[in-house]
Amino acid sequence: MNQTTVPFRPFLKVDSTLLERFAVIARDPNPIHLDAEAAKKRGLPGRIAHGMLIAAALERVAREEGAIGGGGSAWLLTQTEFRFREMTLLGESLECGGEWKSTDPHRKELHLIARPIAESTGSRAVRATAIFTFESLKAE
Amino acid sequence: MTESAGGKLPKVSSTVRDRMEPESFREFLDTVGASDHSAWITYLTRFRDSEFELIQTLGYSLERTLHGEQKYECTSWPNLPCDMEYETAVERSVEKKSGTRGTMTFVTMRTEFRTEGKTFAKAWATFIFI
Repeated sequence: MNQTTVPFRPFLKVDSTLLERFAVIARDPNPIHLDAEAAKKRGLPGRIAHGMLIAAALERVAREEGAIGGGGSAWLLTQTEFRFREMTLLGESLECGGEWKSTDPHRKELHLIARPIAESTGSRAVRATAIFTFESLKAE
Repeated sequence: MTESAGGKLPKVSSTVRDRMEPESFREFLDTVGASDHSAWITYLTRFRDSEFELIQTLGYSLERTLHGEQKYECTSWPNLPCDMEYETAVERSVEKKSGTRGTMTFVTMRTEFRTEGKTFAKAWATFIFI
């Protein structure tokens, strides 16, 4: 199996404006993302980011990495998987990194983990993990 | 496989039709910083009305809902604008105890995305009801 490291880099800053805009365009007006009191009533420490915001932002990174590592449009992103490990709080900035894994010349996987940037939070626990599968357009 | 470790597993599904316009597609991708406007899988991460309907059918409200594990598969990439149809069904329901927030229920829903009668993508979304 071929493996290549993808260095960690910042990819998302969770601010109030972003959460409010994402709630509209993603059709997810859940008040735990928009109202601190509503979130606390549900036992949460405060407003939390939409899981799917983390997912969509990670996928943007995967597409950028795929274009760099896979020769641009010769690869298609065909499958994604996300697991949310911890809640991401309002005000946190996240970074992601991981590695490429490939066992087949026509298929490769990008494994990423998302975690807070050290300066933005008291906890650096992994917030989400993701696997992106790319397939080559040139099947033999 | 359909199963329920927590008891009842409603045999319900919901189908919703939607018109996909290029403007709404681009707005979503711009918000998450995606420059590649062929990013269909990214767009499919949006909450679907069919999922909303099932959440309500199961007796939960949105403010009790968190996203858990998610999986998406895309086999073709429709041209825009297009008419789409989403069909969502409950696939798995598990009730699990949590030490800090009481009982949490995990429900996995499976959605098929179709256009012109053909499936072009599938999604599995696990919702956690707190």
